[in-house]
Amino acid sequence: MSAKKRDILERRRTVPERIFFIVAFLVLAVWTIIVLYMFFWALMSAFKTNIDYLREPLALPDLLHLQWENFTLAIDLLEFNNVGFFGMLWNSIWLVFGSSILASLSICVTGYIFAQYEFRGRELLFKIVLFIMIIPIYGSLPATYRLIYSLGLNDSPLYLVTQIGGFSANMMITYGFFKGVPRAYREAVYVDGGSDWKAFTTIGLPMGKNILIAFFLLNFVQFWNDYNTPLLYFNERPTLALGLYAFQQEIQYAANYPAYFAGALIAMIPILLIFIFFSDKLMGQMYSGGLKG
Amino acid sequence: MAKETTELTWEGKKSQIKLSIYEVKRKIQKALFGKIRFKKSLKANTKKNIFVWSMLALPLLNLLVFWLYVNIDSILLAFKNIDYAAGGVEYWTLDNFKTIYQMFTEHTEGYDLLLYGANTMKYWLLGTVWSIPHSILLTYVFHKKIRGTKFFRVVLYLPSIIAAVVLAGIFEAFISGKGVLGKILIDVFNVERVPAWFQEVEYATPMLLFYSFFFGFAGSYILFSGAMARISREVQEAAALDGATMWQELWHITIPMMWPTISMTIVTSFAGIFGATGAILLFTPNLPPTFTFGYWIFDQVRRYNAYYLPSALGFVFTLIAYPIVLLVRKLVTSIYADVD
Repeated sequence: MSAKKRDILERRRTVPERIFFIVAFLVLAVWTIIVLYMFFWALMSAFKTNIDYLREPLALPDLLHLQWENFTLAIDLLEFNNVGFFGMLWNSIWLVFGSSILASLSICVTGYIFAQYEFRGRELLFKIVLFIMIIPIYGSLPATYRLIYSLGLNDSPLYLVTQIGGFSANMMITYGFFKGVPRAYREAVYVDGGSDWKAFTTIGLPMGKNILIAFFLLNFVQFWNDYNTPLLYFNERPTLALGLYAFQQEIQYAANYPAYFAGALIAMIPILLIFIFFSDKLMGQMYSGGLKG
Repeated sequence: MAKETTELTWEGKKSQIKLSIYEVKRKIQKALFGKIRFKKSLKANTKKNIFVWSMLALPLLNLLVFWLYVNIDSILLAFKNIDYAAGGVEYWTLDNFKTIYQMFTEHTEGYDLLLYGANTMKYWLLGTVWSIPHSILLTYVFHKKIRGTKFFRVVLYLPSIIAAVVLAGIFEAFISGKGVLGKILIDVFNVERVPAWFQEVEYATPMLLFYSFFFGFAGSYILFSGAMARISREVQEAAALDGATMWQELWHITIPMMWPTISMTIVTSFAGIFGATGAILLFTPNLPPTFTFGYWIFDQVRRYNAYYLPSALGFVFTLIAYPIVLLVRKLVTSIYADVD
């Protein structure tokens, strides 16, 4: 873009505009400082003794005597239905990985099929997806809950089948992406004697790799943090998020906040790692208006 | 002449025969190849269909079981109840709807639907009437590159990825009498007693709303930023050349051009008008005056395994919300319908 054009868009702001931007900056700055301070305070408190925390909540921890014991204490205290920290960690791992893989893969498969193939029933299914997107259905939780329990999917790895969604609002995003992949690529595979499956594995999946990874990451964050679903369906095989929820409920009454903060930090490690290593990808995908490939 | 005619006729006959042979050959070839081609395309078509439906089978099965069956069963449950005295036999009844009416008119604790309705509307107003214009303004501010945009974007993103349980725990500790806010209130403002914010009815709902407002500060920014980024620079340049102020540009260019995203957000928010659950499960799961419709349904299912009354309430809300959503959808899509 030429300098002249840039000048046109970045012209001098009028006085009311400048005041607005200063106010907006201040509001954002105050909000940011409070949020960051809150996390910093929690981090610092995780290294204090409970007595120090109660006596001087604003003070920094004694750097010479950092309470690393809080982390082992948190591991001991995090417990739900007689399942300890490592049991919950294992439940989180298989449930979250399984759910994320199935949810993101199914959304890519349906998007790919709808974008690349014409078949009988396609229009009807497409209309159903649109209908699901806008129709407000309330109160389906009791029926879902009853079904999950009557099928015996609760507390079972079989629960993962509920994550093979595919037909949801997110399908529109993968559909839009695969619509942009020329069908000629797929036809080139047929010319070489390849099948539809080969076209999917050699064209669809590699081209949709980025969108698949982005969905996987978003799902991973969502499922890792989800305490609601395990509370309903995984009481015998609780996840770390559920253990943390139970812990958070208890600290209102018998507080050992430093140990809670330490536990919260441990539970946050996978998410923080994702944020550190994939923040550009994750934020780029989300901030660009939904997902793109 | 006659000989000539005969010879010509003979030649003609020869060429006719040749033509016929060629035609027959062509027809046979056409028929053969046509048939082969037809067979081939039929085979390819079958293969394609097998592939398509085998790929869609599991998602489709999931849709049929966990969406279609669940929603049909949900409607049926609304018209049923259970007779435990008769050994847990289900029977058809309209009593659930009578009970719902009573719950709206009689303010029984734990079943005060009027109060839950008022709470639900507060969350909806915060999430729609406040959040949508606020998100548009916030997105516009970043779009115009306020100082520190990159940094603010990262921080705004944090509450979306950090577990709600962790956020809630930190927030609760931070504002409690033993936390930072408590310390400030006692030491700086000489407050004698810091309320137990989430245990006292008076403060609980306002605090829950504040929590939603504070950590939902980004609102629909993530969604809107993409829509705003897609607005053509030429249009913005043309507006700037015409001497449009920022507000004029926002009102006459930006909002109309990102209207499909805004209207979708408005429709979605109306679709969820009765569904708000806030952070009740995190902070006040034992304080019914803070409940919303959505949370009451959740609570009934989780705590009491109650299916019938919550399903009936859900059915009533679906009946009310559906025409509202259709009307809102019609209204919002008619606005700026001619903008391209």
